[in-house]
Amino acid sequence: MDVARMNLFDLRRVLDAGEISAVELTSLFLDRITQLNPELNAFITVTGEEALHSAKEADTRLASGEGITPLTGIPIAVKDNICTQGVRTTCGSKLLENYLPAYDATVITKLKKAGAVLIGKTNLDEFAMGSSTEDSGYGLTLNPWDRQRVAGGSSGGSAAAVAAGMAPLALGSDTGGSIRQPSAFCGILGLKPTYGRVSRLGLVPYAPSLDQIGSMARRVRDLIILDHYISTYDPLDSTSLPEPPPEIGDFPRKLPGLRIGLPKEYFEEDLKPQIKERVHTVAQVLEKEGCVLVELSLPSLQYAVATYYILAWAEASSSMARYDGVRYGYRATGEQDVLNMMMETRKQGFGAEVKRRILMGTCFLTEGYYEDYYRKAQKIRALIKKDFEMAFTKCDLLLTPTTTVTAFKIGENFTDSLILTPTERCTVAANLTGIPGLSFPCGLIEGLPVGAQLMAPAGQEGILFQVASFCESVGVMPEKEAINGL
Amino acid sequence: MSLTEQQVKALSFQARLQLTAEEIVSFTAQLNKILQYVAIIQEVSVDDLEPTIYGVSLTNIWREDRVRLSLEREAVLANAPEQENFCFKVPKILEED
Repeated sequence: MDVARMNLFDLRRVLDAGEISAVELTSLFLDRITQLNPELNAFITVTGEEALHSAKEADTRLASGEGITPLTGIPIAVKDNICTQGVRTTCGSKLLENYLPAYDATVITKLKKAGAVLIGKTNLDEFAMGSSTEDSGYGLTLNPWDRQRVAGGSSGGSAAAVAAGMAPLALGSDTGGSIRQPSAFCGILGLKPTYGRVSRLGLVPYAPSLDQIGSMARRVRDLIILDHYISTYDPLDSTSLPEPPPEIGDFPRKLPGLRIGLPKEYFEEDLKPQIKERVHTVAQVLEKEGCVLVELSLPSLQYAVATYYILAWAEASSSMARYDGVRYGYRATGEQDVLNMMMETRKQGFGAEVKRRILMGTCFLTEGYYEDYYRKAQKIRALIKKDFEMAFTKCDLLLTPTTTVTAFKIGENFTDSLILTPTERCTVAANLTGIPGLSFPCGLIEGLPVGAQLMAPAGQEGILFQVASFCESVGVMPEKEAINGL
Repeated sequence: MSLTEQQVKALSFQARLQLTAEEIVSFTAQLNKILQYVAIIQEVSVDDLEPTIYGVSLTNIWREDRVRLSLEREAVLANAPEQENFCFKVPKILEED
């Protein structure tokens, strides 16, 4: 049974029909991971024993006929900045190399309740700070489409795992594009939900006002199901939205008349022409189906990346303060007093990118910079929000490219990694405004995947699912997948 | 605005981050590059806007004042580099007089 190529619907069918047991299914995926992971390095930790144990429990459920959900017995890969009780959670950092969380993240609790099988913890840029998964303390993750290229980041491990069929589903996290960009680079679907729809309890924070856990899959239906099971009101997360998520399938069905906004700022000179072409083709397909295309402008978008850098890194400087060697994680030895112990611990434990962001963020919060940078960025955030709210009076959703380039070569982005081609340009606005963003594969350019992005008003994931579903059904998403070559 | 190496050293102390001499030099250059890039925000006038902290608006989230189990103490101490008497143990904090 070629489980790697099967989507959730098919896996569910063979499990429920008893054609394969959950234990056998998990074993097949574990074999595939053993075969592919040494090269691709998608996983930092493979939880073989725990996975087989969960699979056994799933088999009990399947036999009894009780407590079966669409996810029962289904292997899921989890980004390694999401806490899993008793299972090493490194955040891609040497600082947490042996850290065993004392609790499960809420999303993990929910997945376990649904009977899912957690198959491993995936690689990421350290503490989710990066756009390529080159900045991990555990090596870089290769793009399954082209081993000379990056998988994208920071959820590169999750993206590569799903693209290569090492797991049918994965969780990632997205602060400035960290689910959507690697999904685009690896030719899969990725969703950053509305801020507050998925609990952040147990998600190791990078920038708390921007971070969200989200779903990654190879089929729209699979994405919808995973998203449903992780979306919840969580009283332990004070940023959690009280509204329940839509039921599976409970979203608008009519495509004709849907107004699709194409903001011109996403289609500027730095956008690779063939990507522009592909996204416009998608727009034409939708127009043919009866959608109305609306040209519009989001003038404050030119400040979005700068605003994101300021806010995210200021928050990061605070989030990273907890890694001081006192309560958990690495502690430098040989220091005579606690101050030097902390300074050495952080010096030895953090990678360069994290240090850079901590320093910059600290600067933005310092007297003399706070008003002109941090405070101002918060106001520009309000301005960007206003622009999007205005746009959504003229359209029901936005269609843009997910990235301005296809997966770049390993090391290519590091010559001046900081600024010159911010790969987050198309994705950060969704984090700043809290609206949902979905990336779906819409073509191949020179053999590399391209992603188109849909964004909708807060809480309107249904519209994204509906349009993505339609695109999938009419062949907008390429037939060829990374799995075909593996 | 441009940062001096001295200022970067001060920032690193604030951030409890020991830096090597080379790092101070290289980070100063990099931070100044970033400052140059984000300076674009100076172009826009936003004085009339209120700062926004979150994308979606929730305010004043309350909970009932009810005691519930948090984490077991052993679990919390399990990852401690050093512990003693149910406390996290660290090197000397105060100077001896």
